[in-house]
Amino acid sequence: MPTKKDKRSRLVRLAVLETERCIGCQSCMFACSRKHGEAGLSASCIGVRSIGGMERGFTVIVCRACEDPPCAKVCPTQALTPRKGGGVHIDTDKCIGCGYCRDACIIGAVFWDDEINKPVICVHCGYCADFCPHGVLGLQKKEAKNAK
Amino acid sequence: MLNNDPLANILYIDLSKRTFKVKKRRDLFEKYMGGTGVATALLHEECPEGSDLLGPDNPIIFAVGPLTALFPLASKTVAMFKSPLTGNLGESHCGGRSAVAVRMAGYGAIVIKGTSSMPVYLSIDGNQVYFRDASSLWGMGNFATGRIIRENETGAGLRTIMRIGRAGENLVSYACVTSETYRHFGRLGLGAVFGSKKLKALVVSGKSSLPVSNNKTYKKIYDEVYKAAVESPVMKKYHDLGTAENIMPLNDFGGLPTRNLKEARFEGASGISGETFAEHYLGRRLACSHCPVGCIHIAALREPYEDEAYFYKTSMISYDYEPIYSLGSMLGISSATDFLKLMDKVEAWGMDAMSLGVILAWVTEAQEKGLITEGETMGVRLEWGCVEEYIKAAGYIVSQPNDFYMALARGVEHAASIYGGEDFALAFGGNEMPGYHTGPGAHLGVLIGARHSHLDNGGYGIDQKTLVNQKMKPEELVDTLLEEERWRQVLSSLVVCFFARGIYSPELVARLLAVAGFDLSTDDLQRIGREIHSEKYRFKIREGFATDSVRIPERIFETSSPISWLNENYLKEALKYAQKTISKEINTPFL
Repeated sequence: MPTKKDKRSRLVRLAVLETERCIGCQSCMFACSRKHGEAGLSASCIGVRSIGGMERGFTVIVCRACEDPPCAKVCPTQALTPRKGGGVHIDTDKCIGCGYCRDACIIGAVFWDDEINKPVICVHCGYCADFCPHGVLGLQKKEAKNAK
Repeated sequence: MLNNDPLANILYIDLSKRTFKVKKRRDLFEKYMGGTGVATALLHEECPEGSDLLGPDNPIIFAVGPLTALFPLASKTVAMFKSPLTGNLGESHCGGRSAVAVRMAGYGAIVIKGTSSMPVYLSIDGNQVYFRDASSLWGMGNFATGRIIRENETGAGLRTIMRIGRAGENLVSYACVTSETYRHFGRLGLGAVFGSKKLKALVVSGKSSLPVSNNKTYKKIYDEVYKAAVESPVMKKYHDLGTAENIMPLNDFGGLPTRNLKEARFEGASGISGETFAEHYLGRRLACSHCPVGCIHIAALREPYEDEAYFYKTSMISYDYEPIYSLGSMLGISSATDFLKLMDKVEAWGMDAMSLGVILAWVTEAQEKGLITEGETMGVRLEWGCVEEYIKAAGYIVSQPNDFYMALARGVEHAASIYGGEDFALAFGGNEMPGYHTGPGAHLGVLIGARHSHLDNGGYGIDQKTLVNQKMKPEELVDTLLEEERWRQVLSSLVVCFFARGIYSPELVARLLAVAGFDLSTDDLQRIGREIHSEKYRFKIREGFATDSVRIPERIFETSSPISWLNENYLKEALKYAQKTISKEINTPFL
């Protein structure tokens, strides 16, 4: 039975609302790791890096919750399965750490936990957005047809 | 500390032999926590007495702390070395991505010794260390070096790129090391130590996880610190106007050193105020890793090329209070554009803006007084406010084409000892003065501070908050300064940014440390602070420092400060008492 929270998370996706407001503090990255029960950065599935030097600002990389996710299409063990409302679920027991998913995601949103050699997959919980001091990140409602 | 905390790992690199090894040093971290405390202990271990400042034995030590990457604002890296500028304890702090990168690479400290036979840069990715040929980078500025290394190395977003410019290569005693284009190990000449080792840059990256004692408590207490960081009024000024906010209040107070401290109020202050920069130039605000405050202010300077119409160069240049004082009011520069032009060059060459400004101010006055001729300056005629001449002189300091510029490259104290004008050579303990002529607190603070920095004990704050209303006996002022400096040893051992000192109270620090597995009471913290301060002074005494014989430039008494009772006798009495107190505390006589 899906809990109330699961239902909510299926209706929304994490989005980068205004990249230009990012100051590069990376608080979101640390928040993501904490949400996964880890301190540090290894379990983070959000990335903030400069666009070739701090003077040009930042790029914020998050899972876009693709409707037909390329990462799931290339997974040889069905560890990644499409999630209602976009994006994927991961079954880490099935994952063999081949890395095809990482290569398939051309925006670089399949992050890798080197300590367990498996991907970290965004579940669009929005915890990171609570730690963005400038409203760069937020949860967006999916359109009705996708929410089913 | 927790058993599996990688903080205990110290990476030792030998540039002469091109080797590296990792040692577990729980002993050091359990005793001193990290940062300044651990780096001081390593300096005692690694730096032989009387060693050559620019020789292979002078170590470069970087240390971070147990709260780094666990909590916001523990985002500084402490560097320790013997200073080419003062010949004594060298300590400098830098933010950017440096601290988080070192911690995430799996280290609590990095020690670099030896000298490379050819230019190299080091690339540290987790447990791998690569020695890369930097011959083709030698001679390049800070911006270009960063750009090239950025493209050559992996770890975008998770790395620090520390590098030197030509000033460091040419061993200018106050050359800085720049990280992430805009942050610096600014003071005391770490850049020259890099240069002496033919070390052009250091890249560190990593992405690991860290242990905590209790995950639930961790998340709860994290939220508390984060909330304080983004909501507390004590942090607000840093993200709004940034440190440049201080220009107008200090000028109104009469404590803004102007034209080599011939005056302490600048009629052109509003032209270089935090408000002016924010309204007309501010192009971007940035943050260090794991700091939601974002105090870094970057100006956008748009300049037309003279040889072609509608053709512009746009430069992004960082500004802060101290460089605005030293390269602005101290040189009589009242135009923000002129300040930014000079700052841009200084950044590319990689020099401590504070030292450089004070030195150029001294040259200007020495030239006015006829102590120095255009023969020495090679035709450069420095005049207050003339930015083009200042850029020329700064360039000569980097290239050092004659004895005069070679002397300037070793600091104002050294230059004045040759050319005269010591009364107005504004250095304390060999380090050029910061931007505060607020009163006895500021000057005494820098004189007795272990690294002769205004941030050692924040004496300028005591002037503005306390001494302006009430007189303090010299002994009382010394005790107040020492107490503050001892507490700051705790903060800098946890590499907490001093801007967050209003949030990081002893009680909070003890609670945060418990999450990292350190069981320390607030009394324990005070004790550790004292011990670290003592260790620093033991090193200073070993290298020949004596508080009561430090030179006090006459100028600080000639130009009145807001605290009218500041005089030489008061400071001398205070210095004597400070020496007695420190000597007793560490049970070591001064030489």
